[in-house]
Amino acid sequence: MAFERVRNSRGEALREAVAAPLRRPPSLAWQRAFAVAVAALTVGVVSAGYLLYAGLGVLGLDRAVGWGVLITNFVFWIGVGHAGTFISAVLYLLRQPWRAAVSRSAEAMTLIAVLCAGLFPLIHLGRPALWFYLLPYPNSRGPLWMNFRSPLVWDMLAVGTYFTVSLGFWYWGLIPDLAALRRRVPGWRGRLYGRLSLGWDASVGTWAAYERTYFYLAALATPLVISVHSVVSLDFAVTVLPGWHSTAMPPYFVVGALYSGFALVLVLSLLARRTQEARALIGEDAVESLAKVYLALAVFMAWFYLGEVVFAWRGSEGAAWATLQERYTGEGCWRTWLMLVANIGLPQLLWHPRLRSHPGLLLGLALSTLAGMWLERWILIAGSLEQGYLPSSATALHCTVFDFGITVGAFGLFFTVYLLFLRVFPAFALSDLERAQAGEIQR
Amino acid sequence: MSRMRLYARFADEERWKDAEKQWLVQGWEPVAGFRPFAPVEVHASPGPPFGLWVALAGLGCASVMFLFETYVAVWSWPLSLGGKPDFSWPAFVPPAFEAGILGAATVALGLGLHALTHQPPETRPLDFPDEGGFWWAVEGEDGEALYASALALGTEHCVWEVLP
Repeated sequence: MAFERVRNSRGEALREAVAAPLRRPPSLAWQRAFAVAVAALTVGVVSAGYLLYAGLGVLGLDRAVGWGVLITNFVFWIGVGHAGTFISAVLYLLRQPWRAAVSRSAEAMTLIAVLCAGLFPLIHLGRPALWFYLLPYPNSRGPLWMNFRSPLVWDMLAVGTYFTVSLGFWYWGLIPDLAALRRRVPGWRGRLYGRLSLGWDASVGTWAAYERTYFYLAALATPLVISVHSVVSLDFAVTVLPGWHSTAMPPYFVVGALYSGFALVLVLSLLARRTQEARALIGEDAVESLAKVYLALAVFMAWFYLGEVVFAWRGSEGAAWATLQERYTGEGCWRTWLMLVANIGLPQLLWHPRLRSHPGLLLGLALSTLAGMWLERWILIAGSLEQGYLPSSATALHCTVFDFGITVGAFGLFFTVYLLFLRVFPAFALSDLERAQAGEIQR
Repeated sequence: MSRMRLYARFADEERWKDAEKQWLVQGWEPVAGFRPFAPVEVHASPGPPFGLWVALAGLGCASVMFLFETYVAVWSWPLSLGGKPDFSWPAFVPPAFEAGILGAATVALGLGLHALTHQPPETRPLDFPDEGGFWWAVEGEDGEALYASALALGTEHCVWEVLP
């Protein structure tokens, strides 16, 4: 009998649907999105380049507001990455089949977002070439170490761990899919898939070894979802600044991170449906499930905003209450009200079932949430520094064109790398999709 | 009579599982199974020693990090921070936790990579990950009888090879 190709017809359609966008030339929608992303990235590169040449003075920082837009961007992007790990690890452990459609792009989102986030503390150092001072290494200046009691050092270790574990988790999940596609995608990508799939043979023994490792990586990544942004929040919570010094900060940050992350996953899923022509892979049910989680997180955020007010109002710290009053009624109160509308007002539309499956509305809501969550970070970081205990701290941060340029550039970097990812690696978890499909057939 | 190996594809997971049981009852030897996604039952069996190594790596890395921080803060580079004691151990916990997770995840990934890259080397007539579907490789002396049993079990397609 000849060794002919006898591809399974049921899985074949799915495999072809995942492989086809990688074989086709980029769609017009992809090219347009890429052009916009590269333009934004260029703005960021020029802004960051001039900042590195001229120094941090080109930003809007002053003697009271030492952490401005750069640290706002850092906190925002770290938070955005959380949804990827949540979908990959937590929803995997909870056996949620709808995650299959969005898990791979969410994992990539995590990696790219953490890379974007990592740039900001480096730029904020002012002298990025000396970043290695943050590492604990034996040196020639005597017993000189970094201070392990500083949350900034915890932050670096937490973000580094998060990135490393997320990278391993992403690669491990890709292995079976790369093997399945190594002969279907021509050229250098097919050869790369062959190398990276490590001789995967799809045997039961291989699957057992694979699942065992995947289970442990998921179990280890789950506490990271909680710990990383909790540690980031401690950068603020362990200070004595009113507006920052609160034990509610870690859960507040974690929920905010998941919320902004799910908003971006929604944007990316809708983008992939359009640019990869993948409506069959990211079905209405997956989009609706994402929208439900997004709505639930919006309600959680409302609860935390309310809690923040109650804690400050009923607490014994007068300065914290004054800071909060300034946020809601002061000169820059428009930021707070705009943020509240974007983060907890508009998403309430999704209580209506028909609106949860409307792509245009979902995209608009998710984008407004991203803007709202960025504003929230800005209000929390710069807004609190604008108050403080001392009358001399009462300043207002005046952002410069370089603050905005670097912020725009970060979005440009994220979307440029993400769109390139869509062209190089499969954007869908093929084996998970096949499992989900088989489950549906059995039901 | 030379020994034969038959590769038989089944339409779905249920028939694939049933075929293994039937072949074992009939005295044939299913030597390997291939499938497009992980079997559900392997989810629930992540026991030792894999788990033991991962746990030991996590606890070991966390302990080493904690001791390192203690050495730095108490002996090598004691800093007076607002009168706090040098051995302010609660502040050492977050880095130790992160180091523990990193160590455990690294060992889990390393053991997984070792397991994947040290499967028994074997040349197969089909690239099963590319083909997709549910397959069994079954061996026996009587190729025709083996083929007939595969057909009786509802196989969709068969490929056979003569073993050396």
